[in-house]
Amino acid sequence: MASSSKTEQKKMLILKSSEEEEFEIEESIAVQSGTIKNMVEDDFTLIPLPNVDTETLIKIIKYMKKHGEKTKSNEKDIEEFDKEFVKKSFTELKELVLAANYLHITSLIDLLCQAFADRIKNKSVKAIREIFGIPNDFTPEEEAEVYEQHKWAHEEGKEHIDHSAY
Amino acid sequence: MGSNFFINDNQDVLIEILKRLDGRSLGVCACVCKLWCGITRNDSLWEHLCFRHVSPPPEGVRTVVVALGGYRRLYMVCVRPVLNRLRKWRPIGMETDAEIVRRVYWTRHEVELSLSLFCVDYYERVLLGGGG
Repeated sequence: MASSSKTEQKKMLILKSSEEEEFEIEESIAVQSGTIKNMVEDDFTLIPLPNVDTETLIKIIKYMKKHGEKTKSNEKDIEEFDKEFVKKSFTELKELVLAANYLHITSLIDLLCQAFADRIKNKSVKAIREIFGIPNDFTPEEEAEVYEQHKWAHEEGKEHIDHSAY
Repeated sequence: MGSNFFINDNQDVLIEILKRLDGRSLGVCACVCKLWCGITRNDSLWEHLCFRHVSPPPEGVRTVVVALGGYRRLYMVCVRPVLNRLRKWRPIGMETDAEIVRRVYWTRHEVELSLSLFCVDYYERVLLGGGG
């Protein structure tokens, strides 16, 4: 029996964003997401993602495509891509990490968490609260006590503290 | 479209972020809110901080460290002072703290040294100091 053409038809999936927009993607690339992988194993080819909006899904697909073509020779290239990928506002990063967590894309979760860590490293307490929208639930006495217990952290590198929330 | 992401509702992500911080930043994060304060008290965070650059990770150490006061204390008493001293001697244009730590401090030898110092600290505190 003559074999079919060398370039086999790659299995494609359709990912659907919360805004009902559809995106075609190779299955081999999409299964970098543990969530999608599970659905594929249950024979889904149309994958609804009601938790991921279009804008975020486009970015995630871009990430998976880049990482799907990882070879020994393009490691540096992918590193550069990753570096650029996280140069986004905190709002965008938050949307991305929520989606990456939902989709179980381990490498992307790592990348995003590292980006958050790098960016909050020298921030003040107030700036961190603002970035994440966290209300201060300490009473003034509790806050003073906690501050005192961690005085060493506030004193160290005092000159470099960043009060900006972006 | 605003973000739906509230980090305190996604503690697994929060912990992944905190795990990647240096000790000083962890101390600052403890003051953000009650939840973060509680999480930074989690000793496994400090264990990760102390030994994440050591390869292979030291075995059989945890029971000892916990008995002597925990990883957070190990960091405060042994690791942090060493880092501060190394920082003072950093030549101009040298690498970041993480790189110094990896290159200079985190060999087996230094890990064992810091654990010995930790034992001394325990001795001074509990046996000589009469508790505390």
